[in-house]
Amino acid sequence: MKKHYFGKLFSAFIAAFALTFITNSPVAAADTPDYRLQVSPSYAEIEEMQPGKTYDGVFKVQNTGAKEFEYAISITPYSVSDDKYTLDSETETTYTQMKDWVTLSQNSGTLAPDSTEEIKYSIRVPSDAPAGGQYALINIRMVQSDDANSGAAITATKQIGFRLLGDVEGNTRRTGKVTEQNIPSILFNPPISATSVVENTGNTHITASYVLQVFPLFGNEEVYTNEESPYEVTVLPETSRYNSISWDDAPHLGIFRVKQTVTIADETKTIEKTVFLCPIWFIFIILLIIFCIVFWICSRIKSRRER
Amino acid sequence: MSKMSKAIAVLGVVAGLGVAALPLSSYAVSDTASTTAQAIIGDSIAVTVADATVTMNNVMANQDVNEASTNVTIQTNSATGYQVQIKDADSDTALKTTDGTGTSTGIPAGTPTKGTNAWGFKASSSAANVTIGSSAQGYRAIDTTNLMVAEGTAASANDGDVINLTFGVTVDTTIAAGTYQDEVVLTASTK
Repeated sequence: MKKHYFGKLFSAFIAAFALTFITNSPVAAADTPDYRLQVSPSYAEIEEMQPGKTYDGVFKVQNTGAKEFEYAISITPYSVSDDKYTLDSETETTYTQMKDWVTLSQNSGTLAPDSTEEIKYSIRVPSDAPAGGQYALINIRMVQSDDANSGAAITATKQIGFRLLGDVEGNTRRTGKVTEQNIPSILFNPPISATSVVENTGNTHITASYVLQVFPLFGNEEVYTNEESPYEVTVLPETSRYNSISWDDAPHLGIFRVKQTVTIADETKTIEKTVFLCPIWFIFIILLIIFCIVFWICSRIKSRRER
Repeated sequence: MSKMSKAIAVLGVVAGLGVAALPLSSYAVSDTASTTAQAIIGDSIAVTVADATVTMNNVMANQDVNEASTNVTIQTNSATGYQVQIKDADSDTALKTTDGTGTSTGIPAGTPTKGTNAWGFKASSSAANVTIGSSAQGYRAIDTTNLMVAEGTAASANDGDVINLTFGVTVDTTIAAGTYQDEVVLTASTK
């Protein structure tokens, strides 16, 4: 009887185990969204293009979702409207002529789930192309049919911008400067961060690199650094770019020496500051303790005088 | 110890030493060569919007903001991060009637406030490396040019960085009942 009981228990256990796997399957399937547009790579850089020549490249448009969709491709200027690098795909400048030089192997298509389409682009550089940077944005937009709605409805169309960064050879200037660096002295919460603004004063894009080093107040042993792999961003010609770099896993309490080194073109600037990291409630408690001690001392003095 | 035992012990030691020496001698005669495995991983970026159409149902005149949300998920392995921008799909930023029965001028883009005709958007995210654009933290009007929604400062998390995008609308009694609609374009690009 007992053996029979264990047999039933064992069977129930196996059934429960199998059921776990069966019921997990739809959850795993649900992880794939209906519509997901992917582009790879996300940008291309063509250096030292020669006027009169043609340069070819390729990128992939991928459907990593569960349903088929159509897509459309357009080419717009690529520039930025502020130092936060808000994308400006409307304004045409001397650096956005490349949008007229690019032709695509196709401007639209249909993608089944788990399928990829290779899009070939060709850049024909005019013989009178100006020296310096040239930039265009290839926009891959998912086309979806409108759903029937009632009330107020907003259709959110997905689009990925494939950046084309070019550089026409000739009289190119790769110059830049660090115009602003800041490290806050008092922080109430992590992370410890440092900000900076760099300016590209040349006529082609350059790279700015950022290194953050954090030391204890006394001592030179780094508690954090990204020196091995500095954070790097591209700075377009005649633009300024703001950047913030941080140590996200900083503790909630401590006094540190923080050093930020920014390099752009031939210029390197370093700023170092002592940073006091302390939660606001801790400051309040310290002030309360100081107040109590002062009050206690004052009351003692007063009582002695009265005696 | 008998002679037999001694012999076995000596043979055992010799056999042990032989076995121990065997790999050494085998390796000594072999030549070494190394192969470096290298994989060059290209960067990619993917965008998902949970609901392609976000509907604000039962919008009533002179009420608080009627809002509806969707999640925008960005997945990228770009170490420099990404940006998500929003703009109107055409030059008309108003929510326009779709069936011809409503107010033809539609509901203009603006900051939705009780008693006014306006619709706008705002964004939020709990992802660690996502910064919401300062102007997108509260309701603001959609524009025909790109507005920063969010910025990722590094590669996205495994399951992607989720950005919650909320649309809100308010109307007064001058807006006739009907269905009003507009299209916005969310552009994701690496930095």
